[in-house]
Amino acid sequence: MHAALIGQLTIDGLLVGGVYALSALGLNVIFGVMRIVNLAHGEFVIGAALLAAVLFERWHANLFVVLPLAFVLAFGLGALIQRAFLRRLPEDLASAETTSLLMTFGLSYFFVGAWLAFFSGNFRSVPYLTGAWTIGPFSIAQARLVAFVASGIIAVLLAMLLRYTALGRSIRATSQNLQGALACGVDVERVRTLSFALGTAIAAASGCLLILIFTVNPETGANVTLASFAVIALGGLGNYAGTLVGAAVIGLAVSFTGYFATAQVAQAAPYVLFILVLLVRPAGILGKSGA
Amino acid sequence: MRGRALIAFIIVVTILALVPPFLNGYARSLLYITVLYVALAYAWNVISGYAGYLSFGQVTFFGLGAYTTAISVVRGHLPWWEGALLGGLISAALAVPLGYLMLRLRGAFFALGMLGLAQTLQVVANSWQLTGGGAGLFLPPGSNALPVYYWTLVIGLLTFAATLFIDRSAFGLRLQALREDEQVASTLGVHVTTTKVWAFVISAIVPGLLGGGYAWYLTYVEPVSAFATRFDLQAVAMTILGGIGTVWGPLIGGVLMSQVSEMLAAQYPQAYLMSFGGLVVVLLVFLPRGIAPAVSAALARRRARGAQGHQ
Amino acid sequence: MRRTRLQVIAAGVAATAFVFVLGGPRLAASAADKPIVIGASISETGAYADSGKLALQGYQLWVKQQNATGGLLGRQIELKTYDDASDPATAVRLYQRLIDQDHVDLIVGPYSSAVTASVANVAQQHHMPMISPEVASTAPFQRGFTEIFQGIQIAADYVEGPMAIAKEKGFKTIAVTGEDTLFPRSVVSGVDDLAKKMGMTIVFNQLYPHNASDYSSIVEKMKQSNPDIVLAASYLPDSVGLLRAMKQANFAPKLVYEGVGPTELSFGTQNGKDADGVMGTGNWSAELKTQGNATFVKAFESTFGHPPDYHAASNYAALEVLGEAVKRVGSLDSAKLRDQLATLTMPTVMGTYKVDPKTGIQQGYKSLVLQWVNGKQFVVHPKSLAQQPPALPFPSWSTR
Repeated sequence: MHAALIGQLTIDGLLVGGVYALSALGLNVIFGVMRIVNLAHGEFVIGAALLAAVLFERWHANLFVVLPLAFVLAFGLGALIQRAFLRRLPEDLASAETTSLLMTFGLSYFFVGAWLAFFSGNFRSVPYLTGAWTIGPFSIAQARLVAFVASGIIAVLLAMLLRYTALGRSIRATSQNLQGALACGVDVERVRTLSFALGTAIAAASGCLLILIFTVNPETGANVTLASFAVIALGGLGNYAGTLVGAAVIGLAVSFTGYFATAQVAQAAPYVLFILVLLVRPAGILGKSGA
Repeated sequence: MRGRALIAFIIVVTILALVPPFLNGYARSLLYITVLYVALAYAWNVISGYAGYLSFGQVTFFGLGAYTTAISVVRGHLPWWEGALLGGLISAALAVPLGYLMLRLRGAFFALGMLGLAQTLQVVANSWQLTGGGAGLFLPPGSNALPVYYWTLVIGLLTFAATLFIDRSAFGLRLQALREDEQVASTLGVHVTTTKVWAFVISAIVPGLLGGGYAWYLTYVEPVSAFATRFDLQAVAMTILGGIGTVWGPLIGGVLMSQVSEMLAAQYPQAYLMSFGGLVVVLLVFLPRGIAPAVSAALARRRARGAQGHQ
Repeated sequence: MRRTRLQVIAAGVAATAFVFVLGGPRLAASAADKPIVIGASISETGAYADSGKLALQGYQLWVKQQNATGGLLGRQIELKTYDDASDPATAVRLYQRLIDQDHVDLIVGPYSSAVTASVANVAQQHHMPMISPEVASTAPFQRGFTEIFQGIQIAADYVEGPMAIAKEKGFKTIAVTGEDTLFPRSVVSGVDDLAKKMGMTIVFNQLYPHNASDYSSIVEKMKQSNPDIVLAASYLPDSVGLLRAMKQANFAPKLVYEGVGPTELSFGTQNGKDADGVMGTGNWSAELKTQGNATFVKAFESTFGHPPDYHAASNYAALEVLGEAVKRVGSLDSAKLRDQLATLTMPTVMGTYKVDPKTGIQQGYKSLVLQWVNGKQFVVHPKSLAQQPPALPFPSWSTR
């Protein structure tokens, strides 16, 4: 019985971790190229989640139809934000970081307000794939498994994009060595726009999957940003493989503390873990140093 | 000239001190909230503006002050202002070790670390018997906003004085040096850690003292509103509008934005968040240093022209 | 240069202070031909947006009907509302604005318990009697206030119904959960004593925080305690989340009660077949044979194009009571109105309004137990009002 319980909690935690991982990957792509942490990330996740929920409520729109739509919309929105605002960050690195944090903090509240206006403050969820498959003593929630698998597919597609396409090579080059990329004739401005757009689009995709599992409203975005940042803080900024490990750790921490402690502790677990990791190793457990 | 400026300042403070008893409850509340936000913006400006450590979690200390006061009043039967004083002391005491730990982080790590800290404290307040859990704590009803207003005004003036000091003292220069480059500051003989921990303590003690008044004013404390990140958003937006890292920025931004937000909040709460957030973004693009430097530059130009005219 | 700047700023501050003074005290001119203004803040944004909208419509309908039949004291009625976004500090300022700046004649309560707790103090200081049609928790009423009156059933009574049903069926063990905020806490506050009295055991008792988004761990924990009954003091979003987590964990106890979540109509649309068997507390039902209820439902639907819910009904009833009190007093004298509201007994769409004259706690309205059966809500308790007997046990997940 006890082993079965541990197994069950592990399954629940890992499946949720998959969705965290996707959201965090989006944040990481942006950080890798632009060296900025997008504090409005959670708002893009939640915006897409609410869009998916509303379209489902109104027309029973299938999530897997909404997902590409949200992806494209968010891609456009991300490109627009980069062109309009983030491109104008000051030249020197220290004040660029400060300004980018303030700017994305402002953006995050702009979007909280916008989602409140569009979607109202109601908590929403999507009653799709609400059942579970029973395998031995374990019960595997359909929605969680589907969200996990879909996240995995998107993550693999992203990895292939980064590895095998010209754009991916420019993104990686810019992440690793800005001067080098410039010297090789990479259009860094274009790469930045595309990466911010891509990161935002991935956030939106993860939102469409998150809504399969969670109940959210426009004000839950900050929690998603924090959880995603906790994931990459654990896994290392700019470290894509580490992101997966970080996400698994966060997912398991939430699931186990929720059972063995209280739901309150589970809610705090990502933040506490995150602060502890920062204090022990400011660049993340598996991270590259130099942050 | 100096005398006239001083007289103007004294007149303003006198008005702020003498007028409130003759105002109705609404105007008094509005004035209280304005002074509160300006004081919080000044506190935020020290660690984030002068020291350059952006914090999105100073509300941690505000909530701490609110809860300390509520607990002192409800469980310890202390007068509220003793509770509020205690809240300030606890915030300061906590800010020292916390400062040593958190200020090792930079940039996004510090900013989000503080945000996470506020969330964590909210969870603690939510699950502790002493704090009343999610149901919160009721303070005795019948509170009068006037003492809370004066408390806030005095602390606001002290924070302003502290800012004035920081702006013109060696301590302030050290802070600005480490904002530009910590390693260089360190080689120049600045005790980097001590200096920034001091700044952090100033930025913590003020919300710690003010939170208690807020709890007494509302007669009720609960986790969600006591640790709301919106307080930091307000401080950020007001300071940036007025001018980050300047003496007059928080005042100008705070007074302007309180009025605007009061107009928006009642009728269009979504527009309120959108405009605060949007304004921050737009300002950073078009007026990154805020109103205060722009105004003083314009004044300098006018005076220069005036001086030429006279010659 | 610096000094000039200081002067400009000082002038600005002085001007602002001056505006405050000018905007300050004004004489309230309530000429007989002016409309009577009723003020309230509601939560159209924030976590309880949907309910807030229906609550507002309840107020609006009463004002519209009353104006059509000549208003109150021969004057027309006007409703003045603001949006407090569920924030206590904002709500306090808005009520002060309503009273001091807009000079409204009467006020009615805001939406959530947390907001009301702070607003009650404003009502008290201004000696403005206030009915709170949404605050089921009794804590805000037990602070020595004399001006606030509860316009809805007491939260602590909610669980009595489902527990009585469970006792009749011989169910023994209870798992208790709910959101850890003022209202849900008071729903489960009396459950210990009640269980003792009824000879049942509580095998699990743990609340989850506001804004929780994942319920799988807490459900897993409840499942391990193997209860006959799940009593959850929940709102709509957490009701849906808990139920879904129960299905995913394949956990089907014999009775499932989910607070006020199941009373909302979208509980059915969001859960489909999974809603079947779930019980909840209803403060009101369209089927109730209370005075004027049928007309209320019809008028509401024709005005707004959708059916009312209990928020609409309790807010409507609050104005019914306030209107009646004004009529009896014959003026807007707040001291007399207060005494009238404290002692008045009258039928409303919610039932019989009657409060404890000392605390203002509701004694007249009785709560109902609702159950979803085949996609519809039915009143199943108390027996005198039941449309049909409770359908138990809760069907297993595989047989739906």
